[in-house]
Amino acid sequence: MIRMEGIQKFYKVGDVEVPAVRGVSLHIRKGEFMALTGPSGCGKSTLMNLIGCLDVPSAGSYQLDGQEVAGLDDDALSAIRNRKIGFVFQSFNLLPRATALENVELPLIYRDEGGIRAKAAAALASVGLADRAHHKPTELSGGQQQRVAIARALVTDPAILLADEPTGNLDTKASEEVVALFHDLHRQGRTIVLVTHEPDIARHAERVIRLRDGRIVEDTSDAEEPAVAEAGGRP
Amino acid sequence: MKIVSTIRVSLKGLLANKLRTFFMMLGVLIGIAALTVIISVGQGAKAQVMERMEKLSAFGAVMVSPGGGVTRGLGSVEAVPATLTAEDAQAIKADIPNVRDVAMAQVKQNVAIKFEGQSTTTSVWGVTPNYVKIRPSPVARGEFFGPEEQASAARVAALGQETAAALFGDADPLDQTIRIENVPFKVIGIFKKMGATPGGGNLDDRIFIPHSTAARRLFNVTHLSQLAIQIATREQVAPAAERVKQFLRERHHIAPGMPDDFSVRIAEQMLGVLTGTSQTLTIFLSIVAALSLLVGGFIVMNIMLISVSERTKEIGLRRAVGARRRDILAQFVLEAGAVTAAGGVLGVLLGLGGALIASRVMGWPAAISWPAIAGAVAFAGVVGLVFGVQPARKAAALHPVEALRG
Repeated sequence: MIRMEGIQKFYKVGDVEVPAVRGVSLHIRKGEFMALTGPSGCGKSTLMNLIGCLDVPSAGSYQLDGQEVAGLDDDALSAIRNRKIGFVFQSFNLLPRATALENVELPLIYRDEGGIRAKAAAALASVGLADRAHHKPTELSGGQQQRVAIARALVTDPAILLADEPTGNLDTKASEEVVALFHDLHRQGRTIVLVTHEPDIARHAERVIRLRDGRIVEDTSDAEEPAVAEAGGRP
Repeated sequence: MKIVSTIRVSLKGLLANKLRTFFMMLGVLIGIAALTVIISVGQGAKAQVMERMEKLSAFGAVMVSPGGGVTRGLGSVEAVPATLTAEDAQAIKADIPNVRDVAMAQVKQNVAIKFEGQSTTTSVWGVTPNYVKIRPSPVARGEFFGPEEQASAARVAALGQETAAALFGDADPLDQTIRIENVPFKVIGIFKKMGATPGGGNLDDRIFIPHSTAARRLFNVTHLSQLAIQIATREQVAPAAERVKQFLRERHHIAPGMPDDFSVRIAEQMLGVLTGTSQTLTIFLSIVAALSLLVGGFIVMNIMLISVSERTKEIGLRRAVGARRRDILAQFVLEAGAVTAAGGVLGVLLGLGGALIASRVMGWPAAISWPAIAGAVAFAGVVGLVFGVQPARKAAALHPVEALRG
């Protein structure tokens, strides 16, 4: 599903190039539930942006669902985000004046296809919020808002669900609800990448990758995965 | 992304902050409303002058009056220089090409008129019968005098509506005998109601009698108050006027460098003088209104820039879920365009209402000029697009990662 080889990312600060990701090779299989963790500043946000095609690597190769992503232009990246990636954010990022249903519709309006409303309603039902379709975000609890955001991520039937600290703004109970929802989705066969610095959340994943200083320092997956074992080994 | 959904997204964005949208619209609305009122009233004023000129039907004619300089209205025969004569009229008709007809008029102002117990004063015009062909004065009842009455210096008169009313009230003036400076005249015709001249004269308060009668029986002068020269086509009016001028200078033996002892006017020129002022004013006010529209455009741009920076996270989210740069660009350009277009349409409605009220309450003429209004709305749209593009480009240029950070 995801095949990253020797990915590097530098940011230019003035004349100095600051490395954020220093050579990451990473394979993620279809249906995998993976957590990306590490201390703040370790490069996990940058790596997530690269996986989510929000940004392009400075060097290396990235194949998503069999398609090479490095070197694509902005429009093509937009199209890939629309078709293959479902984002879930820490602060939900719902449009405040739109209803839950309208928020879920959002990715579909950037496609030229019909039946938007029905698809959005189905996605909302799949996270158990069919009865909240016409509520505004402010009328929903934090957990409900995040479930709306997850429905928005799922509505395009993406290849991969990318969640950035999805429980960061939630209380314990709501966090558990959201984590339970991720488990459900995993059982249904979704590929999930969960970015979190909370070990309690990360341990729910079947595989945990720990980053430090832009390199993978730990991968809990089987040693049978040769590509993963060599992660971080290249300059 | 379909254009329909882009429009829907833009409209939702506008409705999300109604107060801000209203303020964006306001600048454009006021500018367009002002422009609409100015154009409507300006057009109305022009149409009014044209209508009055058409009523006089002085187009295609050259008017000559005695004395140099430009005078307004017609001088009374006892007051004007005796420089214009019937011989001049005949010579012009005989010698100048493209002259179709020449009519003569002797006018005396403030003449006492009596009918039985009633009396009034008005202007008496002694005119050749062809005068009303050059400057039509249609008769509502009875008839106008012809060559026979002119030849016999008949004591017959045609009355303006107001003159008739002053003397006869509701009674029938036809075939009654009135006294003009104590000379009896038979009323043979009543003119149709004509209103005012562009110069402010009253066409409904005057009496027309044959020129011969006026010259021999009433005024006892031979010189004229006016010559009306009908030119074959309107294109020839201006050159003919110039020729008349030279011709009369020679006939009157005016040395080079000396001023004319007559003045030549053409209706087209008078129209220019009369409409010129209001047109200049209209143009000046239109420029002011257009400037206010430009200010409205800057307001739109500023508020859109604020809107873009406030909605950075929304832009980031849209980019994350697949919006291309051009989708974001289209969204914000359309927001600005929709606001200004709505402001334009509302401005036109408000302006037309204002023009209507102005014409009802203050008696200003108002005419709706649809091409001008369409132009104003199009201008508003252009303002919206021009001033909307910069903020929209800023929005589209945001990097998704940075935009998501807020």
